[in-house]
Amino acid sequence: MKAAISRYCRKIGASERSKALVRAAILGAVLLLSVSVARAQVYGVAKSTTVVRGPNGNVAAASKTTVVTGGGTASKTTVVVAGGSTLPHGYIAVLPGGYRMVTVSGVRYYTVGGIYYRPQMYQGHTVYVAVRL
Amino acid sequence: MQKYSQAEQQPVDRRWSRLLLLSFVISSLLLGFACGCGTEKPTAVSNDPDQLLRQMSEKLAQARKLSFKVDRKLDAALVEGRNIPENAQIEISVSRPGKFLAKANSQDNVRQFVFDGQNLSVYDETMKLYATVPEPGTIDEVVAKIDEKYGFTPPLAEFILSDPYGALRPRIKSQAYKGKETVGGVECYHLSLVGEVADSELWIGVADLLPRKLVATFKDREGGPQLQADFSDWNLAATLDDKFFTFVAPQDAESVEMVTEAQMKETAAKAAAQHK
Repeated sequence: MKAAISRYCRKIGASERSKALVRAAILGAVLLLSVSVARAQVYGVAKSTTVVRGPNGNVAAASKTTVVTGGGTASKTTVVVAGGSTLPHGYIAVLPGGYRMVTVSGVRYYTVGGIYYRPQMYQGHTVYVAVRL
Repeated sequence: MQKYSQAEQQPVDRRWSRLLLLSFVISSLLLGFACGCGTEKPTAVSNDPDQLLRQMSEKLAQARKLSFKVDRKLDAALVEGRNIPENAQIEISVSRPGKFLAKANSQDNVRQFVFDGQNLSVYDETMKLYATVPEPGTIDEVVAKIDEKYGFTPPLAEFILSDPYGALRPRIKSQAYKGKETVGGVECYHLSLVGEVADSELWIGVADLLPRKLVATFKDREGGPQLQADFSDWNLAATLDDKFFTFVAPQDAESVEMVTEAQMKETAAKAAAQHK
């Protein structure tokens, strides 16, 4: 392998290498530019299209709808769209009323109706994932 | 002492007088220009919307330390996870090139986005939960990174970047100048910006060239929900020390994980596979 690399290095002259470097730099600059311009947010509102998969495998493109329901498009698998992306099954954006906070082994959870939720930060918001303790 | 004949002396005098006249004209022009710059008159020279947008951008970019307030109204369809409209009062402070703090106070919660040049913290003041991730860099860099990695940006981030024009312009398909209007007692240029995702109406102050109001209609959503932002309390020479941008978690607040887009997609894929 080493021999092959050194043969290749000998093959290409200094001028070719510098040309390749210039080409790589231009490509890098173009890529960087496209990353900085192609933001997914417009004034802080996500614009990405979300693919929602239902329980029977059907797929629908939800273009930034807050709640995707009905028509068999989505059910318990993916119900809430938060900031442009679906929250998977087991996640909720808002705790149900009547929750209480508990600390288990130094970690904070919220519990309501026998279900325990661990808080996480997602897309700049607090979300809650159901966990088994 | 060297003596000149009268014939030699005359052309030299003429040259000197021409030079004096020229310097007088140049000095007058420079003086006039300097006086013009000293006044608070707008630098906008035309009703070209692109020019006005550019001038607004330059004005914002020139401020090293700035603060402003935004009264933001979001229609229900734009509010994540809830189906109710949101009114939020947002205070934004910036220290270029690498520090910002945005505090959003809505009817549901109070959130802070703090970036000190090294770490980005999101603090849910209502639930007393925070997440901090290391993201060293400038404001521009961190906004791009968190957008890509975590799927969000601080509120109205376009206006705190080093080149707001560069952030806004690529989205605009066409633009128009709609005339002068008064917004909140301030005379403004009214621009109409047509985009692919959202059409925006933007009002820029005639006197200071600062954004005063923004109404964006999101065309990619049913019913065309709107975001309205009323800008106020602009301070382009704010006194903000580094401590202001250092996030110190309150004792009763708990650290939580900041979930990436990739992690959430993976979780969603697993959940979907389990429910097949």
